[in-house]
Amino acid sequence: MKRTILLIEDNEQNRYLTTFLLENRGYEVVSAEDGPQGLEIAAKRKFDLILLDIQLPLMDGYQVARALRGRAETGAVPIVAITSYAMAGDREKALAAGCDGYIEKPINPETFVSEVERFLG
Amino acid sequence: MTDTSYEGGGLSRCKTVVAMILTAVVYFAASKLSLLLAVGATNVTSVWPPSGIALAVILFRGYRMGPAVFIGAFFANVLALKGAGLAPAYYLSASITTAIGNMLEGLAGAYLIRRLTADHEPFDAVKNLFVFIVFGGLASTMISATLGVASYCSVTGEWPLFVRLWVTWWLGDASGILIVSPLIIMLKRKPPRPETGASWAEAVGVFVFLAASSMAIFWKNYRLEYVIIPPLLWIALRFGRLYSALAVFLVSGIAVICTVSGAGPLAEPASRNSLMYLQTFIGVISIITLCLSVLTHERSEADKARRASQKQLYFIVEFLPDATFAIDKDGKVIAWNRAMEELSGVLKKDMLGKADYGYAAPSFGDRQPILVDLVMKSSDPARCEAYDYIEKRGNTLFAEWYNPKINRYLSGAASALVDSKGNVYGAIESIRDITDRKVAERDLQHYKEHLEEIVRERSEELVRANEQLVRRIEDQDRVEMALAESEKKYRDLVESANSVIMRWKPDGTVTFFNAYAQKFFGFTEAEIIGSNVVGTIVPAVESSGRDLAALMKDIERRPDLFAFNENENVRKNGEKVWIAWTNKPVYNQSGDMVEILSVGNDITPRKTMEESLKKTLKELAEAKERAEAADRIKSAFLATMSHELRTPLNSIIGFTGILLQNLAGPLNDEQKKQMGMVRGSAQHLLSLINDVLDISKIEAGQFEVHAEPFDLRGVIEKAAAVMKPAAEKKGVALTVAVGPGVGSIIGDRRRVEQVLLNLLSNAVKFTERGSVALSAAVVPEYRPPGADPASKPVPAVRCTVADTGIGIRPEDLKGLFQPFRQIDTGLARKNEGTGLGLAICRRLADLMGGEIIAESAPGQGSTFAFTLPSGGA
Repeated sequence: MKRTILLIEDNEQNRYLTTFLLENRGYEVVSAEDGPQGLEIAAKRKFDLILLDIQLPLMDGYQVARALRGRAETGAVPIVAITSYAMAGDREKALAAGCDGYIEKPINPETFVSEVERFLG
Repeated sequence: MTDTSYEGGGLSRCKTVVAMILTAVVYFAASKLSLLLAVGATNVTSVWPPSGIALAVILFRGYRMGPAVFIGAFFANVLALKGAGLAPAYYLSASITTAIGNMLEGLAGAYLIRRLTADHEPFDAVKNLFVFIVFGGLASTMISATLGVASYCSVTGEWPLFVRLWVTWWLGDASGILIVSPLIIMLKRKPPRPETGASWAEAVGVFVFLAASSMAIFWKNYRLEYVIIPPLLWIALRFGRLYSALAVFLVSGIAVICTVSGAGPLAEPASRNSLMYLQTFIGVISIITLCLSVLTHERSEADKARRASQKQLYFIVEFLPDATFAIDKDGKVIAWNRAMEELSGVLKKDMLGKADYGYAAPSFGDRQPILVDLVMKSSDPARCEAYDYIEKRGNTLFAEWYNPKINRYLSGAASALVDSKGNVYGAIESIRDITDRKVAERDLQHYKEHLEEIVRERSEELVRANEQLVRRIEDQDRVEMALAESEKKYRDLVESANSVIMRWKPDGTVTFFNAYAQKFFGFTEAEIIGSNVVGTIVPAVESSGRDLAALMKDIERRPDLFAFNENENVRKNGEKVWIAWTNKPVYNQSGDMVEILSVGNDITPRKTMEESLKKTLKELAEAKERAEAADRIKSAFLATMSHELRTPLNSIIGFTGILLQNLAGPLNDEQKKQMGMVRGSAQHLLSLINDVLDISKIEAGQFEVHAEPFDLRGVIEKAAAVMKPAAEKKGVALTVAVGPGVGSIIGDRRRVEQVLLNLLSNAVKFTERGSVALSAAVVPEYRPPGADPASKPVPAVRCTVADTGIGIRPEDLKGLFQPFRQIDTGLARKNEGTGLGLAICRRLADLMGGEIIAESAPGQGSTFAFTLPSGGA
């Protein structure tokens, strides 16, 4: 059975890049363009992992992470933040909001999937 | 006797002569009558009344009556003896001797009585009566008896009868005196009236009974001699001395007449003893009766005197203002005045005549002996515990006590009442309420104690005050000396001081303005003295708008509240100046504020400076605010820029990677080569972005380094491994030598890695031939640059990257670590770089508490030494 990953990412190119890399390795990827949409999708389906961009419109990644952690159906799903590592404290904030790990942007297409798989257990 | 001046004396003398003649006649007549009673043919009689007459007359008429007695007695004896048939020589000489005896008897008797009774009447007192009986009756008569009987015997030669005759003579004279003298003296003194309250009927009755019983005894010879005793005693007790003398005279007369007549129990002619019986009887009854009557008289007189004195006492007591009462010897109350009624609450009528200590009520409230009783006894009054205080002064007892029943303090004085004869007949006590005095005394005592305490305290205070005063005077002396010395200095100082010194009155008037002030403000002394400060040197309103006129009023009221005050002033020419004033009130000796001393210093430059400083500070604050706002904007801009730049780069690098991995289908060699160039450019752009971001964050102070333990050896080996391919590609040997002891340190792993990679990449980049050597060694004692030289050195690790490359010119070494200072070597194009690497490295090293030092010379290669503390920054 295919493992399902929810990708919440606002940039279309990056969404396609990430989806391509993951689907290329056999994962089912459902993507959302912003936080509210991601939360809505996460409420309907069960996912094995959630990839979460931090710089999002409407709700930032921290808020989305906290919302996901506060829900029964997504409370135990691993969340991996994708940060641009712009300012001091971004990583700590991501972990504090409930993320299990983080991957820096720009991603390395050669190592990206294996980095994600570390959190799939 | 025409000389009137001698009339009195003449009359007196005349009366004396008459009295003498009368005495002689009476004596003679009495003698003639008495001789009728003579025993036989002698002049010796059982009773010789003339002796009584003689004594009585001499007693109240004086000794001058002696010769009259002699004459009367002489003639009586002559007649008596002549009748006996004797020769005239004999009877004349016998008569003279006898008469002399009679006269001497009277004179001696009278003398002795007067002498021994101190001229008192012999029948006033029993004592005097005894003098009369013993000396007047029994002693003096011995003279007459001796002379008379001796002359008789010498004439008749009957010496053997001497003793018997002497006794008869003596007893006759004595009884004559005892019977007659009292009667005459009493009659002379007293009206014939019973002395007591007895009635005439009683007197007549008793006398009739006495006469009848005497007749029955001496005439009818009833042996009832003792029957006459009761009426005699009755008379003595009831009727007094005169009637007693009369009764004795009556009984004696009856007895003598009857006996001489040969009747009665004593008439025994055969025996001369009968005469003596008669004489003895008469003597005894007269002595008994007289004694009793005098005794009764004395008693009644004493009673009378006592009653009179008690009456007097009663009135005196009534008159006294203090509560006073008196008792008699038996403790009966005899006086009780109004004040006593008030004090005791017992009325006089209920108290008079009562005994049993009823008068003790005001003293103790119950019946017990009190002061008035104590004074009549001779016991020691000091032992009496009933009184708070008791003392005997003279004959008076004084005492003080407290009666709780009436809640009063009382003071009493008691004295025995003594009659004229020195007999105590009662006692008097006077009581005074001394409560007010006692209370006053107590208050006074308290007051006195309080006063003493105050005096003591005040004395101590005074001593202290005095000591202080002495000290103060000493201080003052010193101060005054110093003052005198400094006064001149001060005067000079005030005048020449570079300060405004002025004095002004509380109404604002200037009274003193020193030379400096005049110069400073531009006012002459004449202009300023007497003017108000406001309007001259003080503008009414300050430039800031403050009301200086009101301020001056406040200062004038309470200069002490404005000891230091700054305000704007004005010169005469209108120029505004700022003065810092020191104000001080000046008091006169009464403590009233009379002036204000103000010393001012020009602070205009300071004020101006302060104003401009304020302005600058304000501008600075605004600038700082702007800068901080700009910083915030810059940070936000950097964060946004970082994100916005990375997002497209992420796509570029990501898709380039996918293509190069042939994930989207196979590429030919040319495509692969060009795609590789895209990826290289993209990564260079990313490096640029990262470096710019790093340097910007460092510059903005937003860069944070972590302090976590990490394996430095691992980091070194990893960095070498990363750079190995590039070095091998250029044919440069990359060697690594990690010294012993280099292991785990505390710091930011990523940043250490960044620095090492940067240094290694530079070394490889600028080395065409030779080698790049990376080494690491422990520095046991490291003191970072800029650290306190006295601080304790810390352990550190030094990583060294040494190459054999082109080297660096000395002038380029200086700016080596400046941003965008890539050395223009002509190799620039060949050696691509951001120009930020070393600048970031040095800053990171700084942030981590370490340093980077470069050593190089052109053509000699370069050595970069990166030192960082093992324990973190």
